[in-house]
Amino acid sequence: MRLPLQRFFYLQLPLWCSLTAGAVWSHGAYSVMLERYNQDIQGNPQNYLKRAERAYLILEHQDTSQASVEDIDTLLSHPQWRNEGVRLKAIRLHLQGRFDEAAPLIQQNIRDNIYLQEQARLLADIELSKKDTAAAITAYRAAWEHDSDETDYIDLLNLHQGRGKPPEELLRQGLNFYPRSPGAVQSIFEVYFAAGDPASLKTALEISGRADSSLWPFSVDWKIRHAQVLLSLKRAHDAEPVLMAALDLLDGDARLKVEDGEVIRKQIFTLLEASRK
Amino acid sequence: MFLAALPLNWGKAYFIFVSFLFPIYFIPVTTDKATGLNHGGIMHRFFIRSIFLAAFCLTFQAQAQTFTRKPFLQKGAYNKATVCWRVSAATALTVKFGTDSTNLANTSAASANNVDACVTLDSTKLQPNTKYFYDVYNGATKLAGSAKQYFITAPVVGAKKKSTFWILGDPGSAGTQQRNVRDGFYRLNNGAPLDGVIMNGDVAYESGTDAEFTSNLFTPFADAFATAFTWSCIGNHEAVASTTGASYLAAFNFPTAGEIGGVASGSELYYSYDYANIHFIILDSQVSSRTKTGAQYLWLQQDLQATRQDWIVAVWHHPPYSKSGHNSDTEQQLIDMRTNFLPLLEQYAVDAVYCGHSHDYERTYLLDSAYGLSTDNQAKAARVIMDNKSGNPTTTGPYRKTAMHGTHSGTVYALVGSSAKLDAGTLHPMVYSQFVNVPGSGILTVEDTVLTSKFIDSTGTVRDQFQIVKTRGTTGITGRPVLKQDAQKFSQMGRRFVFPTNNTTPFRIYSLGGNLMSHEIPHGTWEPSPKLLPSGAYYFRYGGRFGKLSIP
Repeated sequence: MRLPLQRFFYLQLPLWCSLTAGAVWSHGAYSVMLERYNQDIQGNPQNYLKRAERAYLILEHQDTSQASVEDIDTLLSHPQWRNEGVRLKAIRLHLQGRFDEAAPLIQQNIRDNIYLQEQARLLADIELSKKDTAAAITAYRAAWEHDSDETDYIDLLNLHQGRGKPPEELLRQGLNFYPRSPGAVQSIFEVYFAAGDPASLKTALEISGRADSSLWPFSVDWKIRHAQVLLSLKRAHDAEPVLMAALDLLDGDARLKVEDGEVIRKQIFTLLEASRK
Repeated sequence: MFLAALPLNWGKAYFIFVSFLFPIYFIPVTTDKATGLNHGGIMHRFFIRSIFLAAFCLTFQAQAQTFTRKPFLQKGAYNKATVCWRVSAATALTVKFGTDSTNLANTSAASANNVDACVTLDSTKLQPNTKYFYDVYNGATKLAGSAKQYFITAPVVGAKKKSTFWILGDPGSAGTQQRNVRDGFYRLNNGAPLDGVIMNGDVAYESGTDAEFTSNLFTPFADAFATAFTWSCIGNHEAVASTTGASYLAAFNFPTAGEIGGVASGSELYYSYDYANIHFIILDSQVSSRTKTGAQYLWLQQDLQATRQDWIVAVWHHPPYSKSGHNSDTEQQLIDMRTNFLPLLEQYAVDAVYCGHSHDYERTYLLDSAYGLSTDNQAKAARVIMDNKSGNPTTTGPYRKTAMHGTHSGTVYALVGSSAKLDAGTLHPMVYSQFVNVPGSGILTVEDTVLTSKFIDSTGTVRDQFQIVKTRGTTGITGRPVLKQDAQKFSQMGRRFVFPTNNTTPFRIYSLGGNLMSHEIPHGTWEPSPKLLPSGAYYFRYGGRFGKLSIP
């Protein structure tokens, strides 16, 4: 008597073969990996997944040769793989520096929600190359609102620095999203501090005070930042002990390179001198 | 419950049906001559079938709470332990735990009513460095888990207790090699308790799907995960099905708020934790930004500044030095980690780094500042290789560090990537020891001032080992600064300084350029030599006092 599914054994054979092949597959260096993709695609030119992966591999290695074009064109010609095609085409154009052609394609990809975060960052890069910071901010904002990636947020805030009044809502959102994250808190602080108006300095002081006293008490950087805000608010008397604590911390940390220590100490001395004027 | 569970257990139901119920139809009709009753008649068959059907239903009901991922341990600290699992049907479960395996005296709060769930055990019921047995319960019914279910809480932070960790490199491909590596380690370890299992990525081949996590990781390593706290970094294969590593993030429960030590990262992709006198740093070389302005780097900077632990060990997937399955000269993630992160890690005296990605074993010399391509580093070998011997305590002797936290005092980078797959390769010039085509895993042991790392093959044989020995010296890092505002006075007469004879306050002199020239606790008269302090202007620091002084 045949066991259940036994009659399908031969139908399962390709499945087992592909599983076995998958098990022995291991990613090698670029040329090895590329050769494997080449063989796979030679065996089955209609393997769209492999084509998408091969094109991305080529572009990831900054290779702008014609090698990826065939894959991209194949993907573009298939309705189900078209999104991969337009994504990769945009990356390729960007990589080639053909920004005028890349920009409208990327904008369309963003509108169609195709790899939005990645494409928005590409667009921001193009806008920055044209020195259009406002457009780059819009692009980064789109990336951040889509994925809430902290690095997108930091890049976004870095672009806001020195552009007048801080984007209050964005900063508040950041403090809510990343209340204890060193990168985001530092970027938020820097935007408020750079703004320089009394209200912004007051907020910067709140942030640096919390960072110095509770979040990162071992951070020399945060002590210096905190002292800088205190000095900006003409609270020299309060700044001096903070700077002294920074000096203690610095002198007691053998992990800093001598030259790094010198630069930071010099900064502390300058601030201490300023606090006494 | 029965209907809800049916699809999940269809295979088992089919087995039970074929094995037990179906044959009932073939029970022959016989007559008991003494009683005249028909055995195997229609009523008799109906009766027996009813019993089997009831058993069938009960089987399903019990199976509704069976584990599809057996209990595994997460986020272990001296007073913390989290137990996680996946069951076949959503159920709120509790964990009973205690120091006596026959009397689990404590019960956790109920888990969420989910298929995947974790419970964090009451920290007031946990003592440091103590063995606790545990079981998962559905009401009063114990669920069958692994053969052994216990954990040992971590020692208090800073303790110098001997700690042993199993390093699994790219282990997420189920099969003979994975099994052999696992069993080779089990044989060598001989049931000794582990202080942690650390995985350096690629834990669920090929694409990091949810099903692959179950079949390729949680199932084969269930016994180890049930008795040792598990930590991991993300590999490239966990970011295939989802580029953000969704299944990876869902599978594990790692600290994001600094709750196991370290600075809060806000991300399970990169985080840190303390265990005894070791600070572990887990980085993400795949999904998160690898730039020096990215969130991960800025977090790492704060985390390294904050730690005061004797040892720092970092783990990520893409190796900075490899010439086998992957080439650290040409692949972006590997280059990014080497050029951006290594300078920061070495500045803050990271001692050992574990990576994977290539499927072999490649372990470097004691290195510092080897951030270039392999050819550049080879050309600068005399400078970047701090110790050109093996570091093997049984042959040429261990690598030695003269301070606990000396900046750029040398780091060993160990690529352990052959726990489930193999690659061929050539020798990278920074690598001292390489084993290709040798399946294996690593063992990290730290005891006070000695760190030992071994590579063992699938027979349990040690193929390579290195040791780092540190000297507890006066140089190091201080704790949180406490300002001494009440320092006593000192006076200066020419090159001579007079301090109170019972002085306990450090007197520090800096050059105007910021160099720390002298750091003393002088008593009575103190006269620095002209060699130490030539004539000129200096800054000084004495307790709460800061100012300028001039030395003739």
